[in-house]
Amino acid sequence: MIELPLVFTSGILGSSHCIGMCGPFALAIGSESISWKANLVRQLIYSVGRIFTYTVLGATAGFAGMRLAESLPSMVNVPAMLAIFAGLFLVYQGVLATGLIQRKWKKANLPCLSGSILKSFLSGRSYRDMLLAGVFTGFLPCGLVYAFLAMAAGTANMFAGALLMAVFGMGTVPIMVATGLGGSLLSIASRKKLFHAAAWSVIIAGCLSIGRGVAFFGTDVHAAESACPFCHDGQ
Amino acid sequence: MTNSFRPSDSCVYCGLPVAPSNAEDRVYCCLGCRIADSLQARGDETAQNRWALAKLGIAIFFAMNVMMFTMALWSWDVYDISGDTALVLRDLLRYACMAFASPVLILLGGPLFESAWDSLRKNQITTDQLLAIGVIAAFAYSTFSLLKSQQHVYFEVACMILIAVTVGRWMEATGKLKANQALQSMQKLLPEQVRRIGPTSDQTVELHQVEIGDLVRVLPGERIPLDGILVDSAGDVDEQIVTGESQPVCKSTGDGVVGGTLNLSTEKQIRVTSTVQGGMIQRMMNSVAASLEAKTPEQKLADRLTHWFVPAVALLAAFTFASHYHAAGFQSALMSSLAVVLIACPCALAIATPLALWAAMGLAAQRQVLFRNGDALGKLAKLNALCFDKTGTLTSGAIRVKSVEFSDSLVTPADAEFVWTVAHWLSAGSSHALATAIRMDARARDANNRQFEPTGQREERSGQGVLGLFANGDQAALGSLRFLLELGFKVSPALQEIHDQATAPTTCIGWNRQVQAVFLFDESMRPEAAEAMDQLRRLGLHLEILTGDRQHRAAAIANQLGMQFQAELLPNDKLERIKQMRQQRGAVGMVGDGINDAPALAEADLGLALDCGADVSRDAADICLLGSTLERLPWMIQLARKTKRTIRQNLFWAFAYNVVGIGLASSGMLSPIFSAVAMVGSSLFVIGNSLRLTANAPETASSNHDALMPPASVTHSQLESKDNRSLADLASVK
Repeated sequence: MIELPLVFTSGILGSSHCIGMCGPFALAIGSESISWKANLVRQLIYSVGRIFTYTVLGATAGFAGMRLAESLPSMVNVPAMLAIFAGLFLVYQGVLATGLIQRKWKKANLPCLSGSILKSFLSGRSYRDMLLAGVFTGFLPCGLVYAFLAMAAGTANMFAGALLMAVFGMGTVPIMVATGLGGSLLSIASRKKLFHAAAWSVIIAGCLSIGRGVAFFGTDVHAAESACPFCHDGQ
Repeated sequence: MTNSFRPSDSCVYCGLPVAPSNAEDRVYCCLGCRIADSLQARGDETAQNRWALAKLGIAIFFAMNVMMFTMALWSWDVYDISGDTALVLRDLLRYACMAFASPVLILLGGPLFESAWDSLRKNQITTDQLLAIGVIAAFAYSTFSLLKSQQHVYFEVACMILIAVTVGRWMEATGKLKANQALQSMQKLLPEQVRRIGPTSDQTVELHQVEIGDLVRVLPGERIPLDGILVDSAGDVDEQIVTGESQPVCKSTGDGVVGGTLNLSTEKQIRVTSTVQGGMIQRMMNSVAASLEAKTPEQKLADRLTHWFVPAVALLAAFTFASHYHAAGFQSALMSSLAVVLIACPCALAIATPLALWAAMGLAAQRQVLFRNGDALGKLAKLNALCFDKTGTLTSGAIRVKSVEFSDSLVTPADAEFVWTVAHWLSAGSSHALATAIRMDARARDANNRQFEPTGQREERSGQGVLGLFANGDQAALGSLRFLLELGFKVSPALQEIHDQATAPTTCIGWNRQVQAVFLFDESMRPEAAEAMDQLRRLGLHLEILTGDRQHRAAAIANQLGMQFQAELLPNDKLERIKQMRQQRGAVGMVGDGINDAPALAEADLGLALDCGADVSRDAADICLLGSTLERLPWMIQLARKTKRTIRQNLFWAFAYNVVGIGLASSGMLSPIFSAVAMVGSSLFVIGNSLRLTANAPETASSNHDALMPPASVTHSQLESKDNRSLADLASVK
């Protein structure tokens, strides 16, 4: 899978986009600990929880993509279409992040029921609470996650989907941990630059996904599977 | 909320009817209410609550693993793996499924089985029992299949049912808690600890330890803990919470103060006159709580449906099982009947109406609008016409005496003083706005301290005036000229002339069968009246003034507001007019101060009383507004209409979902996994749709209440971090 390094990079850069939403969680987790070492352990456990959720979601998306590809007539190239869809979604998210276009509708102020669950874990002290906070954070609505999930579905393979989302999750670790540790390691100006770089990185990932989808259109439906490292043994 | 007055055949938490039982004093309609009640009783952050949440979290973590393994098993056919490695791998995955599913069963099964067993003992059939049977069946069958045969395993189904049920009920409980939050936030206004003044020094005691007659000390900036009388010293108090008026009120010694109001200036000593339970805040909360229990027609229908729903679903599930067993074997039968039970869970149906009503009434209570019953909200949405009392309703409540014109026979200052003395005595017999104005003025003239021995025989004639007897048996009267003339009093041409020419309301006083003086008042329209009437008209309501005041006076106000009017009405005329209007236009509402127009308020389809203040249980009115700002009227009507829409959407959704879902499930076309997800989704829709009322509530012009009590959505959506500075810092990046 050529995209994996790019997915990882998008994870790294894209997570600076996520700090607006998830950064406070990382800070909340760190606020209880005494030393930075203890904080680091808590941050890593929290991230493991997030990656776990991303992985399960990725596996589910891959599985769903697989079943979809199977159940539809072979004329319809499901992986290619999903790849193009994911690409468009990513480009849209990236362009939103650059601020080139503005979202017309404001986010509805729906009461967040999951908030009270998450809050309880975030303010907990045990490693168990950290892990569960991470698991639930992974479920929070996030455009970037959805875009990569569409990409995972596009692999039409459960294991490839899980791998893709795990790599994406790992990519988000450095900045989330850095935020949780220091919060102010980077100046506001440099964070703004990083934010812009992240936006463009997401757009590039989107374009590549579209390109991949277009290229697949001409090939055999199950070609995408050959990219999966797990499946070579079986075939 | 107080639960003390609930009968034992209704749910302790939400008041839904449940089959009567004598086994236990606390009964619940569903697991959701059980959770909500325990959360409320224990407070939000206790160890037990955390553990309950942690259990759910751990179970979800394990269930996610089970899903992964199961999906891997489901992928078998695609990858076409064969050979020994494949068989070992397959067995490994199946055992892993069981290993990871067992903790889910242990963690989440307990409460479900307990609840199912509880209702079984009470001879009730509930969905909890059906679900418990389903979980046990799926788990037992899978274990048997794993150990003895090589059939499919359904551990993931058992996990999903448990998680869906627990998450669904958790959300339901949180939703109920949120809908109740307005009431909770009122109670939270009362300080937990009180500074009681002892014989030698102050002691800090718990709020409930304070007794009637105790002296408490309240510092500036603190909330007054209990209702009482100000002993020392005079100063400003913010009474917005009970009156809705944002202007501070200056209290002097001897004045009553209300628990929950904010002491703005000076240290105050207060003689406590009521306990927490008897306090005004508690009475307001009781009034709302009582209104939550009154059933709307829709709610009664939903209750009835829920009653036969569960047995019907049990039958249908049994039938589905039997028919699929016959046609396709045990596995298919088990899965189809499980799907039926899951999809038919009537949670969404049961909460569709109450949750929306609770959310709306809670929101209204935050704005000092108290519904006396749930039906009032529905009636408010249906109103076609709204009638207004004029004095004190459309015009400012603070009416003042402008001048007094005496009859020619009264010439000396002593005569004038006697008029004030009699006026003070008679006006004390009525709480009409004009009588109150006279009483205030008389008191300012020290008329209450003069030597005067009335018989104490005094009687108010509703909407007309007050009649009293002097010690010598002479009649004295205060009221409209018409009232005095009907009593046989004579009026001099000069006073008649003054009365007829007045552009403001007037009141006459008389004795010795003579009208002795005419009081002229200053009456100004409420500043917000025009805007409020405009908005009401845009909402499609017919507006009309019904007043006992004179024609040209009513016309002046009506023209300014662009309303129709009926003047010089006696209380009975008002009733007639309302009846007549009902025939012409449908549902009629009446807005008044709830005292002298009580008959009209009671006759109207919906009575709204302004300025209820301490008297929240005013019987004639269906809705009580604390304070008297009119701009809340259009807001209320919008809220009521929105709530009604929401309830309809909820009921439609719940019914449609159940009908379609049951159809699909009983024909075996729906996997239990999707049923479980759909069940949670359906409840989520109803909860989200209902709480949307509080999130996007129509705004009133004066939103100064918000500073005091922020809407539910704001307080909860913020996930507080302890490092606020860094949060703000981060936010600025975005």
